Amino acid sequence: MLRLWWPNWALYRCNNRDTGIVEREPIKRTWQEFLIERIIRATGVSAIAIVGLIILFLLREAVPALMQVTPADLLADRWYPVEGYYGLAPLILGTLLVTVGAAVIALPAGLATAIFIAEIVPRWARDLLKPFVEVLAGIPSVVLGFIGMLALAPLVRRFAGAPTGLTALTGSLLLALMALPTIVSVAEDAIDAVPVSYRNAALALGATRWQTIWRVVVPAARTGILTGMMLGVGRAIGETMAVMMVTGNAARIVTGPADLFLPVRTMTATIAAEMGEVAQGSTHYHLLFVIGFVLFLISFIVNLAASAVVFRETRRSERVMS
Amino acid sequence: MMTDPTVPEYKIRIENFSIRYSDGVESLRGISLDLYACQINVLFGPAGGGKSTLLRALNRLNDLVDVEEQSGRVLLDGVDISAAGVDVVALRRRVGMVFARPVPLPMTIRQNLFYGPQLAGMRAASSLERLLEQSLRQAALWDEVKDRLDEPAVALSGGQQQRLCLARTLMLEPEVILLDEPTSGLDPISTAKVESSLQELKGRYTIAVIPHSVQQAARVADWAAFFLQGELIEHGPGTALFTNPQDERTEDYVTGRFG
Repeated sequence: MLRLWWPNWALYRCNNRDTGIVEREPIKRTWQEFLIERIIRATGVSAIAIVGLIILFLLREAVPALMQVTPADLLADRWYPVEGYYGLAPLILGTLLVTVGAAVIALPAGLATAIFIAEIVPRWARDLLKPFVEVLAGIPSVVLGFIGMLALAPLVRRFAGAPTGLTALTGSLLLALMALPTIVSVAEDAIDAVPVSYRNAALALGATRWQTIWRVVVPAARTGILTGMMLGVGRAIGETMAVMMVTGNAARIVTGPADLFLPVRTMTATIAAEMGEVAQGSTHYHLLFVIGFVLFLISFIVNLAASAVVFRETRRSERVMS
Repeated sequence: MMTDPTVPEYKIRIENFSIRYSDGVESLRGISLDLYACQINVLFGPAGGGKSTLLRALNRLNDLVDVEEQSGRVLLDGVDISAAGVDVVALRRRVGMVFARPVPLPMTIRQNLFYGPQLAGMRAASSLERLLEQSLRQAALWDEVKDRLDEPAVALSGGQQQRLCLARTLMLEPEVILLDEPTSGLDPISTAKVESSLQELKGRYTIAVIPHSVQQAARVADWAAFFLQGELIEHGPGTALFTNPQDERTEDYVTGRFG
């Protein structure tokens, strides 16, 4: 820390070339520079501090529940807190089912759209399509929830033959729609940033346009594509409102993919729906924080996995630079 | 053009070839030029002369950029390859290209080399491996990479990467090899290796190279063509052109008066 307040001696320089006389004079560090450096440092540190505080807060509120409920009860398959059933399994499985369903739909579709915009359509169409896709990201999730309830749910009921349209599948479709703009936007940027020399090299080797895209351009852009996918899936995991509106909110245990056509309840929807009515300080109250903490852990793991992949890629390309 | 009994057999004949980009820049004007088989054909001149454009016309990479107008013919073994209905993919397998900056594809060394032949439908591992060793030896890279073929190609040094790109082109056993300033980013030792590879390769291939300096042009040229602002100024045997240029502009450029 001391070095920051002290003049940095390495910044001294010779200042008189003509006479050859070496006078030493510190390069001026203006107060603007000093201020900017401080501000950047403060924002960086506070970002980390805030994350730390959030974890602490979650833990503080969640730990009392762990004192009152045994781990076996937590893993039980029934969530009915009013009667003392505190099993989180149906909620966790509900979230996983809806999210995985969304990912299965959104990842291939997002990648295909990104390739289409970056590689297939002419430049002017790209300049038109890209903002269009990005506008989708700005639609409030409540509005998407409306669309899901009124447009998507009847379709699901009709085509899937489900007793109700408010199912896990409806939630997955809606979440996929919400994740798409992020995936497309980030992946398209990555694909577009692949140097034209790669394309030239592949084409000069006798690759067709499609072979060039699939074997060269997409692998070269995979770091960015993965980042986009993780951001998209991250949004899907944390999404609350739209999911609450279309998944039916029945806390049932999920037994298999067939449950896609039945109502489920996600962790986010549970917190949002029950937080307003719960007695503060009760076991139920603290349990909602446990759910929040589990949610946090899941997205943390997803992000960790993503940055592990991205980090490995960077290290490899850094070796190229040396 | 002089009629000389020593003029070798031509592989590529360019007839009155002009090209203009859509931004209005006229890149080549009325070029007529023969590129000879089993020779190192050097295209040289100051930047912006249209050398790269001409080279890219030979394997139709110009298709990717906005070409507004193109006229004239490019004959490869007597067949016009600048026409519309040409099988571009097949053409690019016959006319390989090495670029100014090495472009290792994001795969291992082996995958880089197998990529072209596999796209062409070659699957047999034994013939791929045989081809791999042969190509790497021709590109003077075999001894350096034979034990690390499954490492990522980007881990190689710049000079090695460029020789890998040359080997990758050779994997397709093309008839013509185009090189666009292949040594511009390389150190002198790597440059010498690439140049000596070219000398060995010319027995079997038609080589067209844009050198990155006049000195290199003079070193490697069997035949040299001097380009200035989209026009072909002079074409002749390398030794004659560099020691006794016929055109004043060629002489000025070769002797370093401009450029």
